[in-house]
Amino acid sequence: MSGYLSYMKKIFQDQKINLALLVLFCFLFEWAFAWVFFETDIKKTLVSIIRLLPPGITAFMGIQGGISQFALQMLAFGYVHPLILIVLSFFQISIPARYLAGEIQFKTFDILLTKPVRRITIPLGIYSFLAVALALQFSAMLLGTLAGDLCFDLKVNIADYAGAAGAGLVFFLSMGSLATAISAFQSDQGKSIRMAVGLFVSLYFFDTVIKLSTSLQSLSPYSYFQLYQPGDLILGKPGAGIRALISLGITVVCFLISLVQFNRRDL
Amino acid sequence: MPVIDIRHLTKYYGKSPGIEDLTLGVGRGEIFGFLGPNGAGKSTTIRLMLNLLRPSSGEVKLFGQNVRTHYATLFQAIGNVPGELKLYEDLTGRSFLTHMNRFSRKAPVFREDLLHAFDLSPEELNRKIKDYSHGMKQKLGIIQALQEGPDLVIMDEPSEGLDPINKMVLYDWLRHLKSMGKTIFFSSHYLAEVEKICDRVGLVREGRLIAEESVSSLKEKMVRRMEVTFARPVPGKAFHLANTKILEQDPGRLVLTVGGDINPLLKQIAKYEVTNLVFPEPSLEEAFMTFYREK
Repeated sequence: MSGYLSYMKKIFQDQKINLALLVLFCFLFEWAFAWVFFETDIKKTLVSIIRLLPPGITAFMGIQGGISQFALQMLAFGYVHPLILIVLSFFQISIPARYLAGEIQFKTFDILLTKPVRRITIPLGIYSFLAVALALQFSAMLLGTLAGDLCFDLKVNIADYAGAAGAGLVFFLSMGSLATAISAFQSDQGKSIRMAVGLFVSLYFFDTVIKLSTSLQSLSPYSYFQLYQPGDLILGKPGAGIRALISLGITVVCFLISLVQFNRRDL
Repeated sequence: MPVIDIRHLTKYYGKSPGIEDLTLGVGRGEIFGFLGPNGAGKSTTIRLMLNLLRPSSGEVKLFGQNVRTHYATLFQAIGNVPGELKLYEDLTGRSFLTHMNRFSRKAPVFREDLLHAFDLSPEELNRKIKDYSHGMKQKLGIIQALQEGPDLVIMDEPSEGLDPINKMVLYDWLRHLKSMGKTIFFSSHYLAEVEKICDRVGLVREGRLIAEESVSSLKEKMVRRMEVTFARPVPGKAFHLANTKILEQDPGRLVLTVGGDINPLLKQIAKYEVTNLVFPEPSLEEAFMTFYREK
């Protein structure tokens, strides 16, 4: 237990600045979304533009309930905005790459893992860090929305956004889990990052294609990124529980793969 | 019960062998030198002993327990200096020692003495490791391995990067640990270093252990090259002794090899006036490879 805590402490010490900046970014991003779509004239301009967009594009943006709920849905879009996806995904990818493949590549495990530390401490420590970091990031996003609600009197149902944040946490944890499983097979930090980025970009591309193409809509249950749909949550559409369970299933399976592979491999 | 008990250990990297069928035992309170040229399999053996690599076959037991299944318990009693020493560069020297000690769950009883012996000042310890020289990093690596006074110390070429004074400090500490009953497994490709501190040596070549000897027996078997220049021509046959082999002979100059005891040869040389004598420390290749080539 003390080895696990010491290892966690080391990761938090290393990442404290990155994590603090990321939490601040998440908070400001959601607050700025609230400000832009409730307090500025940008909303009117965007509504005009969105009226002109084909249904496929609006579906891609998660705007499904018509223009009347535009602002609320744009707030939800803030939880799945490409910028948020890129920043949070890269964090989920880079941490396992740095602390699994990177430590193998740079030979730092040659000292650490000849201390009385069980090998499973390493993937376990990484998962714990990712879970705590995601909890902080999504709490900051929710706080950003809450702050927007307080500042601009949005009258949003904050419980819906808490659900969106929870779904995001589970989804991004599954993403970190996939990235950890990839890193457990690699001995090169760069290669680990490239492989994970390649996987997620391919999955995102697949999701984009099926969202934009009406003939491929039937494939949407098989799209990984369909597991995280905050817009649906806000509109009260069913299936959020199932999607969260699938995300959790992916997390657990990939976690077990990481444990087994890291425990059996050469370092 | 041997502290280190390696049986039929084999490791393949794909199809190429790292080590093959290596069997070795090291007892308590022994300093064992593990010798071999670069790429011979020394580091592979050490990494297998430390559970960093998985063997293709065979097993490693430390203190009577299989290292694969009991590593977390066993490593409480082991200090390790890796061959390719990499430290956490963003930590200070002091925080690195503290961080590593947290995992060991033992008091760092020797830390202050080691810091003093290796001359690492508090100011230096408060600097980040990325600002350290290679030698300072090596000293820090040695201190982290020895700070808790482990019962078994495994070192892969630990004197690399150390200046002669710090090499002597390291040798003194290893002797000190031995006097306390600790066991030391020490890999090197410098024969002179191993000769200074080890009780026994093992020689590994191309992944196979080709010899395991006490240092004294090794010395007897050593084949060394000698070049003697005389003031006047000498008869070559005077130097045809049981343990010598003449390689080159001029009227006033002789190049020969001598194996084992050099005293009979020195007595023979002393009969003539010598103007120069070159008797270099044998390289590993000279001392072992030629000797064991027949094996």
